[in-house]
Amino acid sequence: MNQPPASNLPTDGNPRPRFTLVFLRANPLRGTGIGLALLLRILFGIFFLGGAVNKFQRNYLFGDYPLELFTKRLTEIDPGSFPALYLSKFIIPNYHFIGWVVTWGELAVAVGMLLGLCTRTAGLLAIFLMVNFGLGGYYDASLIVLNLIALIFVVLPTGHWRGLDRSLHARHPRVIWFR
Amino acid sequence: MTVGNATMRIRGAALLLAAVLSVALARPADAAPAINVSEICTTCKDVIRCVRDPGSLVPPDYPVVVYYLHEHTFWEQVATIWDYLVRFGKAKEQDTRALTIYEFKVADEPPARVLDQQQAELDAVGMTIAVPGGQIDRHSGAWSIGSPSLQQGGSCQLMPPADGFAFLRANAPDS
Repeated sequence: MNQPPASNLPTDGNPRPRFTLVFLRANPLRGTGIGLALLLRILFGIFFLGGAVNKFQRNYLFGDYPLELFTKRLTEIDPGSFPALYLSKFIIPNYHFIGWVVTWGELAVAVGMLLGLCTRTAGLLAIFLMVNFGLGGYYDASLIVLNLIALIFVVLPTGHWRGLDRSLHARHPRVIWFR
Repeated sequence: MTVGNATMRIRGAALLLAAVLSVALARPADAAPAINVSEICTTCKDVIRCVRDPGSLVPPDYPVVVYYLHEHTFWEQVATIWDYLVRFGKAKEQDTRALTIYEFKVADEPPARVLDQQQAELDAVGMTIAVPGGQIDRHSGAWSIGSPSLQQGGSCQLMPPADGFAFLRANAPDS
């Protein structure tokens, strides 16, 4: 009977491969694909970390900067559009709450992506945040690409290929956050 | 390792961390320029109206000029992801925007000349907008024109969004 390459054999009961140089050498094609997905995840994490740092710098948590920003945006977009309605009726009246959700949400996505922790949930959270950015009048074409990238991290087990999800799932197999 | 060494290392690491945090969390300086256009907005359509001074040394062929700074194209918007990653932690200082120039012999009449497919260069350091044959000071709105050397030619204002959109509806229906 043909045995799979030694590097493919799970050592922790997890059927998904762990991304290592040995795995990459034994499975160049698949390994390259996994490596690129992981690189994309790290870049995505850095991207959101930059966003979160910017929110802390602008004092989104305790200051009025979000209110100034959202009010200015309201003057820039078509007053009859849905984003204008969403901004004026929901985002601006709740700008403190929105500031907290955006700041901590971006930081959570960054930590999740960089550490491979609750990676699928972090991907979902990223999609939730970005859809709301678009609805709130901050749509541009980069959001389409970023949402597609985030979807990769929801669908694929990148946190098991490399990340804390793998060991946490081994310890807590019933917890859905680490799947 | 002695206790003294460990204490010194912890103290050094704490100082380093404090220095990094003080830089990372420092609030950027606020500025409120007269021509408040953004280097980072990819979907903004900015309309700037410039009027020549009556005593301008430059011959006033077109006393009123309107500059329409277009929004970025689809792929330019997508490319901002990479741009953002590259300048991680640093503010964007330059931007290039597609530009249409509307030149008026008489204000409130249809434009005498329309120059399409031009470019405007936004500079956040010098706080200028370079346009063909001129430059706009974003702080004061001063408009310098002429070639080869620039001379004070008039002043510019960023049109309020409602007026800007109305101008574009009348003069650039496809925008």
